[in-house]
Amino acid sequence: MNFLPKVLFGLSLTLCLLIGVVLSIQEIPFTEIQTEGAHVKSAQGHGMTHPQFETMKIGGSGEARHGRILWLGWAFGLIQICFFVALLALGSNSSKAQPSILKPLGVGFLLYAGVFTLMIASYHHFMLSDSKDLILGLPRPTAWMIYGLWTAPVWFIGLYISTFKRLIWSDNDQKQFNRILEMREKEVAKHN
Amino acid sequence: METHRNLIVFICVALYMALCLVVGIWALKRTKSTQDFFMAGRTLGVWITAMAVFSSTLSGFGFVGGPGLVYMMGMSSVWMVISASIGYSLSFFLLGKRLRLFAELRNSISLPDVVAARYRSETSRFLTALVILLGVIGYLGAQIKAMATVLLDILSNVAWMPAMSLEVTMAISVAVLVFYCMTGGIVASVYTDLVQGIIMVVAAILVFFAALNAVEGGLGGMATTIMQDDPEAISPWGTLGMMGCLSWFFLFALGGCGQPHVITKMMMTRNVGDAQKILPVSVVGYSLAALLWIIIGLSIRALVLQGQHPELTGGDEAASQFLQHYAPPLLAGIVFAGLFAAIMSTADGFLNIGAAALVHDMPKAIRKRGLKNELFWARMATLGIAVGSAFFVLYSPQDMIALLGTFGWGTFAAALVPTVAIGFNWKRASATAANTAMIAALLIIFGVELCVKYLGFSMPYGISSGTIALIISLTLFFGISLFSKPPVLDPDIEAVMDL
Repeated sequence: MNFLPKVLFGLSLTLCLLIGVVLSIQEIPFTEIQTEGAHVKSAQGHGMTHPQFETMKIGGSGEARHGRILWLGWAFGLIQICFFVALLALGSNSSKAQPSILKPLGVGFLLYAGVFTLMIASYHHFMLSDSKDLILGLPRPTAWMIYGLWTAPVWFIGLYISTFKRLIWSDNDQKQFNRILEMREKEVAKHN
Repeated sequence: METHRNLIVFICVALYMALCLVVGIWALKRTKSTQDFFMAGRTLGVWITAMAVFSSTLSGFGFVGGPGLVYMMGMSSVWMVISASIGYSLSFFLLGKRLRLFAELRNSISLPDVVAARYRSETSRFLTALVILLGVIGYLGAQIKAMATVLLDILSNVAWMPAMSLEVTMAISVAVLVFYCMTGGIVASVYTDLVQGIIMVVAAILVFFAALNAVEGGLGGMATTIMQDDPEAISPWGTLGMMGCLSWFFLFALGGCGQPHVITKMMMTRNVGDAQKILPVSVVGYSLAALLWIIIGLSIRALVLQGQHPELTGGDEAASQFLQHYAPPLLAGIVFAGLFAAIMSTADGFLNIGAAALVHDMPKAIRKRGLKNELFWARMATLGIAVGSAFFVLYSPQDMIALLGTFGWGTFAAALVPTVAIGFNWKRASATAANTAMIAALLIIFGVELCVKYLGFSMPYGISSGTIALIISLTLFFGISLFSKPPVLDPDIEAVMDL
């Protein structure tokens, strides 16, 4: 499974590129401030002071600040999930574990990425529409985030628990480790 | 009972602190060597380790700063909470087995010990120890300030107590913390973590229901009030916006594998196989305790918007204001003890790794051998780091506990995730790549912080500087390792990496 580090390198380069693209797009909304001989754009897309309570912030119009970058945000999140799952595969490093763990990890990726995509789609609707219904006490996209995105990794936790004794740490691994430990102790004793 | 509210809160906190002192004295008898002081003799069971792992993660940042961020920014900071489920999965897949094996194989007592063995490099050991020390000072300072702030709030409400300053409450907090950490080392730390973890979970569940009762309409009522004022605040992105939130998601999910005060606990388990049970217990514990973070913030924001509670003077007040006004006295007492538990459980972990870096790793990296009478110096270093951090935070211009916490987390994440979480699972990773990643991470984080402070620079879209540092350090780490000659590993390390 030597391809995994190359995949991870590719993903981290993509993340760098994506962040670069995001940073090159002017944040909206912004106000122009006149300073000594220059106009400075002060972005407010990541929060403005609440008009009534100055220790609180408000987000303002979702469409104005996210309309142009929603797809970039979706890509950013999706690459992150891809990166996480590739790392989980890297963690199941031993030759015996990886072939049989890749498929369930792939299913986990589809589940996680699917929930994230549904949350984005739901937010897109939330951002544009006036009707904002609640699901289990939260607006629909927030409900996807709390009840879906928070719990989706239970799949990976279940995978870790169910395959642990077979693929991650078997009795045979313990025996092999004891042998390595013995050899190491002999080596240390020889040097002392 | 309501008339004695403040006294009940004070008694609960005083009892909790007394319990910490008793544990410190008990642990003193079990601490006979540096191996005991730093690694608890590698004898920890499933429950102790699981509680220690999750309670060290959810610090004062989570219990004081977290609700404050939700009050100020709506749902934005909840991304730090929801990242925990994938974050713990990553930590255990990548390090649960590997760290424990390296620790036993080389009889290691600290994370830099294991890094030096893996990369065959004393420079890597030194840089890891340096990263830990720098991160510890900022992060520990945030914990100590959180403790002192909460204690000041409690004592100023007790009628017969003389007026106190933040300096005095900081001295009291540091004294308790230092006592049990100096006497019992990591043994005291993990056993107090067990008590702290239980208190945090119980407190969070009770507060969750108290908050639902405090706002008419429960969770739906809070969401509707916040949405009528500003729909974006209750959307998944809160007021920070999409890119900022997703940058936090990456930093907090992946960054968990680089938090030395958390992952060193994985080196202390009795059996390698215990990791199978520790993961689910840690995730469930964390998720329950984090309910407090979300619900207090949302309810206080809704109550202020409804005009039922005066505006707070700052976000960090959210938790204490909620407990003082909306929780029954005994529950408020338990939760305040829980707050101290959350803060202390992280702080003691930091003291332990900071002391190890100072008296064990730095001398080993520089002089190639450790100090004589290491146990004595470990205790002295514990005292010195705690007092130093208290002074640092007392005279630091930043007054937001949450931001200091984020800074510490970002430093550890960007510098240690490539070196530890990836390098321990990939034989081709080289010492040059690890050292470059650590130096780059430190330079980027400190560079951005300096630009923010002195040039008034603000990161577009609220993207976290820690995330940028983490992405760049990962890219450098993979790139340098892939394009350089594969390193030569010690045969025993190579054999363990094949398991």
